[in-house]
Amino acid sequence: MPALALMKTSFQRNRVYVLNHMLNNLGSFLFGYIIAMVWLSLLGNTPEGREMVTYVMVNQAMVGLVMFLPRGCFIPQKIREGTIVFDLVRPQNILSLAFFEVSGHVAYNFVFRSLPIFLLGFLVLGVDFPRLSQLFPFFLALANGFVIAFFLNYLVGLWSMHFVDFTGAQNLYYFTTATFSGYMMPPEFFPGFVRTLVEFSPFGCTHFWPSAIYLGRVPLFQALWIQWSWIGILWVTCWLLTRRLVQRIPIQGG
Amino acid sequence: MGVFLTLVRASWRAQTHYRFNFFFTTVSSGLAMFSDFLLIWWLLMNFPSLGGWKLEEVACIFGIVNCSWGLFRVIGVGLKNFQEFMLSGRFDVLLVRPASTVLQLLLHRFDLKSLGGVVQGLGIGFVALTSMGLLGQLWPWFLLLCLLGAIITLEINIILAAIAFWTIRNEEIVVLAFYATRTASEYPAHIFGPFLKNLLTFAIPLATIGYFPLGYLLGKMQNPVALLSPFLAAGGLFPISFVIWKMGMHHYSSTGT
Repeated sequence: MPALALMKTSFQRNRVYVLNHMLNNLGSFLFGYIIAMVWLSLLGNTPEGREMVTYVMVNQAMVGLVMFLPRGCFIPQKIREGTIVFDLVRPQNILSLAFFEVSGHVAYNFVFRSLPIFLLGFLVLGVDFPRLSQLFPFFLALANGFVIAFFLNYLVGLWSMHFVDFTGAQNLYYFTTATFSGYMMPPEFFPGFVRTLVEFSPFGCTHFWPSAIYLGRVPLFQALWIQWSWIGILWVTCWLLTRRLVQRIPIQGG
Repeated sequence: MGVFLTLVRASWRAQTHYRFNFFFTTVSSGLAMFSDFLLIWWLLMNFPSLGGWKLEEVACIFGIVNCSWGLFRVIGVGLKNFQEFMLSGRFDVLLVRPASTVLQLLLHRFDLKSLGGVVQGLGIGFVALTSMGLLGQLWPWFLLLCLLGAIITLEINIILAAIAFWTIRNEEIVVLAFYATRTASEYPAHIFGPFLKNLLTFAIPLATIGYFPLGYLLGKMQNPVALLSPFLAAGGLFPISFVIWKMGMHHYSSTGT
């Protein structure tokens, strides 16, 4: 299975830097700790405050799975180096190749980034475990969140096929995801129309819905219909744009 | 000064060659930084204060920290990405030139797109001061604190860049020691408890950029040392960053090809 081989290679490539990543985990945990302290300051050490600490730290553990994916799904880097030509001559299309390569990266992040950050959250801040019945729904919603985050990052990669420099698109992705994903706070704290945006946009599908299921706040089916709708829309969009843009990829490097 | 202006002009010409791209990147860079403030704003709309600081007061801290960060980023690209100089061996080139290596890194490239962050920090701070009715009284302090904050940010980043002389890669250390603490310095430091507050005061003194001096100026702290703290931090970090950079230079052995 070439797809699995691609995932395995991507996973193993990251293992070289495992010590660097452990140090990065401390930094990432500190970001979560800062937001958790903000919530405790606002709500006090109450059940609501404790719930928000869990919400924030679960989201922090998830950032390597649904927010900080490889920039543009490796496409900008391949275009700059010229190695995109190897993907173009393969029998699979660029979209599926990118998906499996990023999946391997994310599988690594799950083991070596998400779990240590979650563990730190449990040890230092007393993050709650989910009820056993919530585990499968949570991981299903999380997997859907990853697929949506992949498509959003892939769109940044497609931008680089057209414009080469992708910094602006990457910034825009960061702005929309950081602001509207519900990473720092759930929708009820957002004003009017932004609340709707968090609940129904693809950004909220990456952070808010999986962590709301983790806390047992919402039923799985409610998240699934929104997430699957976005997966369908983004899949078709990415597929059509790939077909169009692949004809005019600028080949660089050498 | 002539060389400085020539290099700024060269950076401007290079970065505005693709105008749409320059405009789009500048706007999106400002938006990416603005997302942090939007979230603080929306969150504090639900509560009367954060650790006794009202929304406008927290916005002032945010404005100073981000304006300082933006000012540093305009000239600090070389220090921010110093790991690349180590990995590629390009630092060798700086050593053979008859000028300070830090100065060469600062003149390496001017990231004019970061001016969006400076404007945004100033805008948020000035709007917050206006809504408190303190703009006329505090705007010179605000500008001075932005400038001192940029100096403190520069000094901390020189120390963090110097770590790469020993470790080659320093990206993860910068994430832990600077990016995370910079985010913490956007909030009133006392909400984090004594450990992180002391870290932000004495070890990585980013709380002296906004929290302490504003605390004094807004009447939340009585000790005048709070107002003097950015001067003390900038003055104290100068020899430390200088010595650590010199020690690192002595330790440097070339890498790359």
